[in-house]
Amino acid sequence: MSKRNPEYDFAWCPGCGDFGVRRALQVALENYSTEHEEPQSNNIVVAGIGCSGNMVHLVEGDQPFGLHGIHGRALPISFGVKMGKPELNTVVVAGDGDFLSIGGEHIGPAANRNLDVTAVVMDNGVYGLTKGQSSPTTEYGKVTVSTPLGKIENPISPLRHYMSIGVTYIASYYSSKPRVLAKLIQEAMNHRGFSIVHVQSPCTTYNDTYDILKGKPKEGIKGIAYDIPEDHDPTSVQSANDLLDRPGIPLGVVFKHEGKTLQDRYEELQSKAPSQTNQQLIDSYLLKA
Amino acid sequence: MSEGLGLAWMAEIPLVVVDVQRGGPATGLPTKSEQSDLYTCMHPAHGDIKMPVLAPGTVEECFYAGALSVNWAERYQGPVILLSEFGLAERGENIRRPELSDISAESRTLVSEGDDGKRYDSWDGATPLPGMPIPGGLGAYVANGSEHDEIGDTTHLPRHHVRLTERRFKKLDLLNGAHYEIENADASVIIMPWGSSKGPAREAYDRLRALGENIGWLYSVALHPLPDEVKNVLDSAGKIIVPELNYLGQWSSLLRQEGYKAESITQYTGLPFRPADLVVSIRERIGVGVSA
Repeated sequence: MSKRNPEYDFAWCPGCGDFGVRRALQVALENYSTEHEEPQSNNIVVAGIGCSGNMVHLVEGDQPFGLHGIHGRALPISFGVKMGKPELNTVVVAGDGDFLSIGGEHIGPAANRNLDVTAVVMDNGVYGLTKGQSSPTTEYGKVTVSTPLGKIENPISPLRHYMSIGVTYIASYYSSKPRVLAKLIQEAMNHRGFSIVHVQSPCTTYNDTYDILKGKPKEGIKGIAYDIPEDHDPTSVQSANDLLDRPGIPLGVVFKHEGKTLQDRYEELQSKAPSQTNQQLIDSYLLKA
Repeated sequence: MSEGLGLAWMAEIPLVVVDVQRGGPATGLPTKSEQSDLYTCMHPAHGDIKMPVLAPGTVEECFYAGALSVNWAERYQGPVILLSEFGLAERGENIRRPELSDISAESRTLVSEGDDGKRYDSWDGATPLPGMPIPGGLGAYVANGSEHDEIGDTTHLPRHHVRLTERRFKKLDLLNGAHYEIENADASVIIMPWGSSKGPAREAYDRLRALGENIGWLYSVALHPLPDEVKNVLDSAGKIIVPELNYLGQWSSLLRQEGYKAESITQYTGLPFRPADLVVSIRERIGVGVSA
C-alpha cells in the first residue's frame, strides 16, 4: 500500500531480510492466485506487530486483504478469519518476537485444530522495531539493550517446537533467495492444514547474521545454513527429528503430514448437529400441559 | 481480552463479548454473583475507549438484549459488551414466549461497486457509515489496529488520529432501541438499579411507594450509550440512588463522571440484595428514618 500513499511513514532498514521475504510472499501470492484461478482479493495477510507486521502494508502490486492486529495474536485472528471465510487463502506474517513469545501459546491450539493457514515467520533473533531488545530466539547470555548483563533465558528452538507440538507442514529457509522461498511459501499455502515457513531474516541494524548463516566463502568460512539432503523424507517424523538433531539451519521442507483440517472437522460436526429453526428451538422450551 | 477489544474498536470489527459476572478479583467467588465488572467492560482497553454495554436485568431481557447486542455490533461496526451475571445466567425461569417477529436481524452496511475505498473516512452522522469490505470481495484494504488513514494505512499524523478518534465515538450515536423504564420521574429521589439488582430494587420501590414515599424509578438495559429519555431524567433528578453489588459503587461513579447526582447502596457479600434491606437503606438515604 505504501507506494500509492505518500503519508505512510514506516520503512525497513537497508538490507533488512524482510525485503527478501516480501518479494517471496508477493510471488507466492501471485502464483497461488494464478494456480487456483482466484482473484488476489481471495488472499488475506494477517499480521501482528513489529517490523514483520508492517509486511501487510508493504506488499506491492495487486493488493490482498490485510489485517494488522495486535502483538502475538495473529494466529487467533486468522482462526477467526478462517471460521468466517474458510475459502480464503490465509497467511499469517509474524516475527520471532511476535510468534514465539506472547504468541507462542497459540501455536499449540492452531496445530491441534490443524488450522488451514500458512504462517511465514521472520526470525531475526531480536526485537528490531523497538530498537534491539532480546527475543525468544536470541542466544543465552547475549548482551542487548534489554539484557545489559546478558540474556538470562535459553533460546527457543523453533523448528523442534513446531515438530513437538504437531504442526503439519514445517519448512525452514532464509531470506536471501526469494525465488526458492516463494516456492516453499506457495507449497505451504497449498498444504491442507497448519503450515509454518520459518525464515531466517537478519536485522542489519541490531543483529546482522548474514555472515553466520551464509559464511564467507572467499575466506573459507562455512555458514551454518545448509541444504536439506535430497534423501531426507519429510513425511517421516523420525527423519524430521533426526534432521533437527543436526547443528545448523536446515534449508527446505523439514516435515509434512496430511490430516484432517479444522474445516474438515467442523463440517463433520455440523453434519451431526440437529437441524433446527429458531422457532423450533423456542418451541422446545414451551411448558407442556 | 482487553487488547482484542481495543483492536475491534480501532479496526472497527463487529463482535459481541458476553461477560457473565462472578465475584472477583482473580478466581474470587466463582460460584457467586456480583456486579463488579462494569468498569472493566466500559473501559476494557488502553487508550481512549468506551464500550457499548447492554446489561439485562431479567432472564427475559437477556433474550432480547442478546439479539440487540448483535444488531448494535453490526450497526456501528464495532465491539459490544453483553453484561450478564452468574445469578442470571444460571437461572431457570418461566418467561413469556419470545416473539421472533419482534426481532429483526440488521445487516451491516457493505462496500459496493463504485465506492471510493475509504472505509475509515470521516463521519458526521448525517450519512450512512461507509460500507465494510469483506475479505474475498470488493475493496481490499487493511483492517488496522494501528492508527490509520481513510484506506487503512498506518499513519501517525495528528489530523488522522483526531479525525478517527472522533469518528469512533461519533458512531455510538447509532446505538439505541434498548429497553428502559421511567416512573415518577419528577420525584426528587430516583432509584436506578442496573442488571439483576432490578428485581429486589423493584420490590423495595413498590413497598416504599406503598408506604407513601415520593420516589421515582429509572432503569435502562443500555448502560452505554444511555437512551436520551433516560439522560433527561438523570439531568433533572435531585438524587439518584443506585443499589449495586460491588464495593466501589461502579455505576454511580460512572454516572457522577457524567455530572449526575448519583450515589450507591453497595453490597459485596456475593449474594443478591434482600428487598427488606433495600427498603431500610433507601429510607436512610432519603432521610425518612430507619424503621422499615
